[in-house]
Amino acid sequence: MRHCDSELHVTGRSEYTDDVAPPEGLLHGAVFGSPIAHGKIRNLDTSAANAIEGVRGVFVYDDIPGQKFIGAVIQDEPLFAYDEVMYHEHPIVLIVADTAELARKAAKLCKVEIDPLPITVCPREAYKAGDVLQEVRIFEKGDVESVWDQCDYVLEGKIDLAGQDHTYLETNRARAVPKEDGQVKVYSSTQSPSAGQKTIAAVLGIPMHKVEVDVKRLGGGFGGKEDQATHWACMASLAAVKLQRPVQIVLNRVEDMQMTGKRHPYKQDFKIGLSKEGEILAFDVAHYQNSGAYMDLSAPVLERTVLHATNAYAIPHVKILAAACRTHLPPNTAYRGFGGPQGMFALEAAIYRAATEMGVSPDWIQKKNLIQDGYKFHYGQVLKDCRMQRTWEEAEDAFEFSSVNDRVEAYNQTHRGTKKGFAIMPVCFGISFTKTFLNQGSSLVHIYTDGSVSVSTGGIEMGQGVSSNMIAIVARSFGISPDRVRCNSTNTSRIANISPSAASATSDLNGNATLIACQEILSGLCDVAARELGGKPEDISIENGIVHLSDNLTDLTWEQLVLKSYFSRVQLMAHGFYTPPGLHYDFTKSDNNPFHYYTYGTCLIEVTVDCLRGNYTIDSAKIVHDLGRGIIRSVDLGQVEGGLAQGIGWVTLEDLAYSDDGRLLSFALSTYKAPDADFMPDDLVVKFLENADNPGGPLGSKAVGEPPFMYGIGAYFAIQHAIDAFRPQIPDEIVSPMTPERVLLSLYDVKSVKPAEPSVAL
Amino acid sequence: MNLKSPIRFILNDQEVTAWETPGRLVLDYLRDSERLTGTKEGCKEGDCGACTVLLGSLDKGRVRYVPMTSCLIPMGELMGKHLVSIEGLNMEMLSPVQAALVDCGGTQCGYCTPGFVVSMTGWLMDETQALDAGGVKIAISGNLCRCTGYRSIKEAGEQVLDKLASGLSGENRITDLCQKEALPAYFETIPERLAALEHPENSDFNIEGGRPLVIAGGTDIYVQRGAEIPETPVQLLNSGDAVPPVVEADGNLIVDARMSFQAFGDDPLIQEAIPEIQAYNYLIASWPIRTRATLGGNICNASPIADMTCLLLALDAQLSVEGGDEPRHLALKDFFLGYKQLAKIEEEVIKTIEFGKPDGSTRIHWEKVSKRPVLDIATVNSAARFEVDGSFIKEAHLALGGVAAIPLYLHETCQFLSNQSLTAELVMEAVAIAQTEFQPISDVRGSADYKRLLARQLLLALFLKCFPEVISEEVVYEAL
Repeated sequence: MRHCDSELHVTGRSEYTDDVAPPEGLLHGAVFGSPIAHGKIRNLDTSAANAIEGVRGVFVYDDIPGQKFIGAVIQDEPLFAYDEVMYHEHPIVLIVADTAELARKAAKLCKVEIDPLPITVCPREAYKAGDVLQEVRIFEKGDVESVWDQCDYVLEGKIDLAGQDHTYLETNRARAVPKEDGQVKVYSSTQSPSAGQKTIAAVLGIPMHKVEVDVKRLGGGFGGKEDQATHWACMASLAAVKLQRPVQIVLNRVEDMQMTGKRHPYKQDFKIGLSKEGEILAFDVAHYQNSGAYMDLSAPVLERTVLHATNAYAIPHVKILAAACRTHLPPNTAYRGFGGPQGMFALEAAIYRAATEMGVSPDWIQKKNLIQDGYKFHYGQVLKDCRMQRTWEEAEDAFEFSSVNDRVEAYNQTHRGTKKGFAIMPVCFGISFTKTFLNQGSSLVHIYTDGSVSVSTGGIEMGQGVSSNMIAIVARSFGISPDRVRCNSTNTSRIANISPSAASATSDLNGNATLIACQEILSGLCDVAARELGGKPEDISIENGIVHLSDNLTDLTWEQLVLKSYFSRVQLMAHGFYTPPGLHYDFTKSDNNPFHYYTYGTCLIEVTVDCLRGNYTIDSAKIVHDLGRGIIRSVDLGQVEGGLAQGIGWVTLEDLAYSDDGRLLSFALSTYKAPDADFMPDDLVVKFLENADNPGGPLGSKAVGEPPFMYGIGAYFAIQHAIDAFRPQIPDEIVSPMTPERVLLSLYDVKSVKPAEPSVAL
Repeated sequence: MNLKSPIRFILNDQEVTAWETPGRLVLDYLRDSERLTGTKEGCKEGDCGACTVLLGSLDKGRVRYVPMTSCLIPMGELMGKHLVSIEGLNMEMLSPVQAALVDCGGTQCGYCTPGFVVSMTGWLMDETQALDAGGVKIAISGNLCRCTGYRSIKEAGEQVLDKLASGLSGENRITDLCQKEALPAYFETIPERLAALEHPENSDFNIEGGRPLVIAGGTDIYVQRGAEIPETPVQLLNSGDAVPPVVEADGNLIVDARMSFQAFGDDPLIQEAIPEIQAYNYLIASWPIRTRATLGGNICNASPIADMTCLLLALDAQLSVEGGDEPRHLALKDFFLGYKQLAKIEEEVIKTIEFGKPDGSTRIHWEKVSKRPVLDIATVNSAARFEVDGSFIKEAHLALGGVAAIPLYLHETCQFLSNQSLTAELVMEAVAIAQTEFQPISDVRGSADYKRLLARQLLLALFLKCFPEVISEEVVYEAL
């Protein structure tokens, strides 16, 4: 089985939000944003925009009939800035016109006078100024202060860790269509249809049952459309209801990059203590999260940073400071890994620093400290069925870790102008929403009288293949071909109170719910079949669309059974609801169980640095990944490879450059560079653990969306390794991403560039 | 002012006359006017390839197709052409390219996928493209995918090769592909239909109301001024007949300024003169951009980091310029007066670019470093042309980009090196002199310190490449 949308995709026939034929009278919205990053609005003049022929509406803060502030965690963000602008391009006005071009032209005519206020873009500065979005929290296990003296090595360092643009190929967009009786139907490119529904209803001041949000698919999400798709859906809905015309907002690339939040940049301090045997005895880390101007999802992102601060390593003494710092950037938001990567990076940097000091390879330290069954994390969860060492050992074996170091060293001995480096990245990632209540999935399964089946769940199809997984689960449950099953759009009128498609948990939660729904229908079908065939319901099974009795083929087909069941007035549709057992998490307590299970893996990355030019190639990436029992191999493989690519991009090319006055300088794809086919290695190997069923996942599977992202972290340290082979160094601050600029400036002392004395010049 | 003109062309399998402003983008036309929504907008500046289409032109009775990003094609250029969107490649069954992408898991969210299908199909249709793994990468060099990590897409390309390559040995790949059901059969009818396509009567675009905006490839001007161009009178340099190939006269190579980077790299005279031109082209721009970007446009855009301009500066190219009081000639190195300031009046257009044909004693090299090696704009580039007699430099021409307000010809360094016997010491001295000729500024592409350092490195790289027998890597690293 393949991704169920593949054939539509390759023929260009799959419909995204604005590909659907426009409804009669569709209007188009464009947003006018703040020209500066922080200040008090003194005067706003939209008259010139309003005067343009073809402009149908101009909307500002005061036009919001209901709740004016939005936000998934706390409602601290005005839908339109009205008093104070908090970041560059902060939306102030929505212009609605006959065409998108006209709306944009009108938006340019809006004039705003702003009294500038000081701008902060650095979280350390915000922290020092006390500008935090929530109380600063400290998490402790053991007592780090008591063990520094016992350590043979204690090392400290500072990190400046970059953010990352989502660069979903499809930018944010929404289309709102007014319906009778004050209702509105919204087609939104969102990962959170219910959050959208709830917020639209609140903004409009109407009950949620008057808002229907429908999502067929997204052209990529990666977290960027978890919370931040809501804004545009709310704006489109506001205008649609006010004007009683359908309204569509499609951000262009520059608008999307400037107006929406990113992966959170962090500043970090670490202190690590080790014995001379390589055992990590203590780890003290401070995470200063660059949260942006409003809360958005910063608190839960920071929480996951804390939970993953020790990644795959058993450390007896841990101290973690976590501060969500307000800066004058768009509110930073969810992004694949959701704070986990930032937590893991700091520890990898600490290990690399320690290895340099100790004169050992980092993997020597890594391997010695891997977690095992029975290990209790700093938040209280005790590891069961831990496969960390297993993935490491299988990778060690398959990719010959023992020879990598020798091979790389031999190369570096014999090559002056190019150097190789490698790094190994173990990953242990917890699966579940840490907001425990979000761990619920719903599914609605319909069998029609012709035997075709449709399934609707809370899962959003954003390329990750959740629709395909749902189809596979239904097909296997009923013993029919996947061709007989269709996955519907995600719609708030079919499924209520949908959790966002996030936390890698979409397939787990909705898949298990789908299994439950299928079981409910199947039990009725088996009764009918048993009556028909003269056996017991428990002896009935269906394979390849044919009913079997005690494993023997019968003449009864799936289609006949369905029809007989219908005429017997047996239920052919069911709703399944699933929530994983035993989860609880309260950050003030130490005996938590936030995760249903963990996903594990180990990755080896090798690179070559061109020491003349400072650029580099990623030569290979080789992964052993724990997937449980995969549902659809090509879909799972795509998640692992794609996650890796984004992770490599995060630490290498993807450079969000901000000016001191809070403007994003790399606001287009001409300046913001994500990996392309040439950059990604051809030598990319992914092996899945075999015989690794996961009792917690549907059909024995494990969540796969986020964990592979963190393999990419290895690319940073592999490049650093190669740099150190050319010019050993201990940087004052560990700074990401590792762009060719950073590499070249590490390879040479800038002061070595000596312009000739004027006398020498002719 | 009504700028709309009738534009007659073939859209997929249908002759159409579109009443459009010649500056309108083909992407907007396809999506909004024709409701052909398989073509996606991802960035609208040629950096993602989600809107890639094929444009076919009649050439000696055959139609040659090139991939282009439709976000950079003005409608006026469609006149008399065959425009192919993803919808025009669909058949009853999936094509081998489509089937391979499905089979290899090369599509996830699907938004970029039509662009990949179009590029890969265009690659199979083009006889000049190598059908091997390297060719696959060239084919998709202009397409970004954020979901897959590309391995599955590369695998799909190789699967297509396994299936088709042996059958594409014929002279006419399009016929072969139609026979193998890799292209819809209507493609075989296109040459005749294009030849029969009558041009509308008033096919000159309406440019009343002032001087029109001159657009060559449009790859930069659409990025800078995309919103206003559809409503601006335009003069499209490449809307008419095909650009002639490079010619040789009096020991010079003469290039039509409208020539695309791709055509320049494919030209046999250029390949003879600059053997590594295709390798440079791979780094200069992606395939769908190379088919649009022109040499003259690259020069007139006057970007300090213009890749092709850097090479042409080092070739000591001469320009012929027309449109003023009388045609005139000037050296490219005298063409740049300041940031985006050119030694020409507005009405003047570059007609040809010429440079001395290299011979056995010529050494040429070009270098570039950008954040991402491919499909990116240079941070710094460098180029050199040396006329040598053994290790004696008779004449040196060096250029640097990204370090000054203009694409920089290193006058003093060139003078210093000319008529000298090359030694490692001389190289280090030349590099130090070069550093006195520019003052880089910090911007989004890099800090001033970095650019200064990188400029040194890329100058050294030129010498290492051109004079391996005189200056070795060892010597350079010892000296640094």
